[in-house]
Amino acid sequence: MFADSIAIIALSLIIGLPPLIFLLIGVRHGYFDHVDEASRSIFEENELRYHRPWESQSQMQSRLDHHGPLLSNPTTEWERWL
Amino acid sequence: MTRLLVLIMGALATVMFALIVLVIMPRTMLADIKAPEQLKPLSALEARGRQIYISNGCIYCHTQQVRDSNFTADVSKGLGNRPSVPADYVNDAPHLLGTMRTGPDLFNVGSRLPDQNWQLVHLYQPRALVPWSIMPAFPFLFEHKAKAGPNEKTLNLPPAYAPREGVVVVSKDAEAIVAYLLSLKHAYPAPGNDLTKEIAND
Amino acid sequence: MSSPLPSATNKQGQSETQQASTLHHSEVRIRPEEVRAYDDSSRKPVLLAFFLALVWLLVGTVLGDLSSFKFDRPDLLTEQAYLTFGRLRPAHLNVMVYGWASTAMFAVSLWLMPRLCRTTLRWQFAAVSGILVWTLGLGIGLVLLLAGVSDGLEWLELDRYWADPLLVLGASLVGASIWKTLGARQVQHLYVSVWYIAASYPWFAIIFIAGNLPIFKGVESAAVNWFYAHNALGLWLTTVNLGLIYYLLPKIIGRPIYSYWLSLVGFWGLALFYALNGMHHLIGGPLPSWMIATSITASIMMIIPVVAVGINQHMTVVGRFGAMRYSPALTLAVIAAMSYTAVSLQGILTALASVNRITHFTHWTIAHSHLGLYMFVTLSLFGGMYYILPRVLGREWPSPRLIRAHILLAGGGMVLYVLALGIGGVLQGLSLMNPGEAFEISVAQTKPWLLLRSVSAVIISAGHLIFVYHCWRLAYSSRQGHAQHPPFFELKPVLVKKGSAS
Ligand code: HEC
Ligand code: HEM
Ligand code: HEM
Repeated sequence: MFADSIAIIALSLIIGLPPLIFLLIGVRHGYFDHVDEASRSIFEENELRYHRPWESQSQMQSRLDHHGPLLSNPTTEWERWL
Repeated sequence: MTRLLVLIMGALATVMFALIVLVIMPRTMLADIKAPEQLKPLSALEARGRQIYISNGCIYCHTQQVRDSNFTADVSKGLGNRPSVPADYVNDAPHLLGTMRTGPDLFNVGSRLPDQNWQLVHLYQPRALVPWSIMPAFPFLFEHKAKAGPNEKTLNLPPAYAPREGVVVVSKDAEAIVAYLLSLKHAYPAPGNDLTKEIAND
Repeated sequence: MSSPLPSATNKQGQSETQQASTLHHSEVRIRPEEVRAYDDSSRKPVLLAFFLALVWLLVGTVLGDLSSFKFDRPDLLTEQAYLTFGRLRPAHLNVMVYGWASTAMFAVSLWLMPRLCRTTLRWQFAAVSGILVWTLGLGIGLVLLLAGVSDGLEWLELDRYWADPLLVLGASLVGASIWKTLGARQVQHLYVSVWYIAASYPWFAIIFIAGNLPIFKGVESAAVNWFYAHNALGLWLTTVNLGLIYYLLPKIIGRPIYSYWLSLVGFWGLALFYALNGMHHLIGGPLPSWMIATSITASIMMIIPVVAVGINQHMTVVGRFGAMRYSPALTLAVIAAMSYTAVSLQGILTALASVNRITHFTHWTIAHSHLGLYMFVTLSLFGGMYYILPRVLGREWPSPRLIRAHILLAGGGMVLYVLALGIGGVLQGLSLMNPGEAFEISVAQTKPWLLLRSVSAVIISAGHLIFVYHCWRLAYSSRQGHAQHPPFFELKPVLVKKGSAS
């Protein structure tokens, strides 16, 4: 019923423009300049260096490459990601 | 602080935009719809019945709308002779359009089932009349008495559903809700209205 | 305003230049002691809110079960007005949405904000009183609702003069604490969860007030009703839970979110399109057609944020599904994230006029509701509780077996629920569409599926009882129990990419 009418196209434009504007504002304010930092901000010191028992060899290797030598968890350390 | 500002302004802007498009604009546009002549305002008794309809949640199983006949079967199923339009609802606050058809639509139930006694018995115990019904019984809208008083109406129930002793008396509440149900008739032709014509063109 | 500032000294001896009070968090990681301090600062309101949420969960479960059984036995408990289906059902909805989900979401937001802003929780007292005021409002509204006082609008039944002002006040107090904490943040960048959570509070206040204004009549009243109800889902329940999932997944997996950029696209797309979705609850109804067309269009556009969120979360976990064996919080968060994608795709499908003409008014909608509110919202909150409670209480969950039982019963039961009503709903819809069939047939065809739903209701309720019992054990056991194995360790991994080992 509502498909392929000009109204749909017009509505899509009206609805679609504001987010584009917000995106531009965001870009202008540098929201996307340091995205990696922002996404890593939730981790505690050394948290990324713990050995995780489910990871494959290659995953462990890349963890080691990126974050330094792996630490083994203290005995109760699996609680950290329970 | 600019980040917070963009967050709060952006968040407010999006929701205000929607509020304007879906609430404020329609409010001004729908403001001048008049009630059709044949649509009578509810009497005091019917209005009381509507309140009981709300407080007992009939709305969670019954709709009061006949959908667009271009793409639904509502009209051909006999729920009404035409789809419902905004003008049919101008007196409704709150609206009772509903979202479930666990039971049949009631928009025109007053024309379909005009018998007051049927409605009363059905309300007291739907399965007395409709064995397969899953509608709840509403015995608390009636009174059990040993004997009916002088001006009181009693229910004529099939033996299987009648109380072992005494009679079932129709309370004011039961009378009110049935009066409301019987008032639900929207057979008059849809009032000419640009907003509603638009539906047909689409 | 004192707070244990993260000292900007950096153990790995990298950049020393970021001594400003606002940190670039690139290099400076939080120390575990600081995290403890943040958790301690929010401990009181978090525990209070989780406790109340669990009470509401049990109440809502009883109400849901009774509503369900009444479809199979319509003469069950009909003598008292307050036990009639038409009162228990809205009570179920309001208790689950405002009691269980919203209160647990208060706890989640109050716990997350200090961690994400790297500062202690501000205005803790406001948060605590907000939670109490909210609960009081809901309690009053619930009693009135059962006594027959209802505003008559779905999702807005709670009394607009006695209950709703308290709810607004309560949410605003909690929101004030959240925003105060945000204002005092010690980091420059906002993690994506902060966007979702912080925005949800002003959104909720605006839509809830707009929805409750007593000035609307006729079809406008319907428009406002669904404007509110849809946004309560999209800009409140969904957003806070997406914020939680965005935190849990990377945290547990030990890997940053796949693409921060996508997550922002997801956020703004959701904010804009979701807010316009409301009228798709009235497709074919007596509203001006442009309103409904707007909502259908916006519903279809929801594909953008949904896919953005879906890809992002999937790519974060991909190749590491084995981790679900170790962490119930992750298991639940992953199922919740998948359900979010599933329920949204189902919703988009349902919003198409050609599908909606069949499924509107049927139990298909109830299946969709519970896919969203249970498999997504509730499981995500369960996951959050499995993660948060041990950290706040400083103890480990006593029993992996109880965790396993809870997840299997609740999750499995709800899968059954959704499948049963999904099938039943389509059959019902096809029958209602067919001019040749009497109404009786649509009832007869749904009956067996409604019975199956009641079976699943019992299963799910058992899961809830186990969970509440387990929380009670966690809170009151003196033993600082240490489980030997993570709860899912013995199970074969359900979701593991072949060949990721080695
Ligand atoms: C659990 C869902 C449910 C609730 C709640 C409910 N009904 Fe029903 N209702 C049904 C079903 C199913 C039918 C069809 C079977 C029948 O006629 O009993 C029905 C039928 C009816 C009919 C007959 C309609 C027709 O066209 O045959 C009327 C009138 C009615 N209900 C009124 C009410 C009123 C008034 C209330 C509130 C006090 C109410 N119902 C509450 C499920 C429900
Ligand atoms: C024990 C588990 C549950 C059971 C047995 C259950 C049962 C039910 C029943 C019987 C209905 C009425 C359906 C109808 O009118 O046909 C319903 C509706 C609803 N329930 Fe539940 N429910 C459960 C859990 C939940 C949870 C946890 C939530 C939310 C967090 C929830 C939210 C809702 C909502 C929003 C509706 C209204 C749906 C609509 O109008 O489309 N339910 N539920
Ligand atoms: C893009 C995403 C979504 C779209 C397009 C969508 C679409 C819809 C549509 C069209 C309906 C009305 C069905 C009808 O009455 O015929 C509906 C109802 C509903 N949706 Fe969604 N949905 C989406 C996501 C969600 C999510 C994420 C949740 C849960 C968190 C959810 C929960 C509900 C509930 C509870 C209802 C029932 C409301 C009621 O009748 O009381 N939806 N949805």
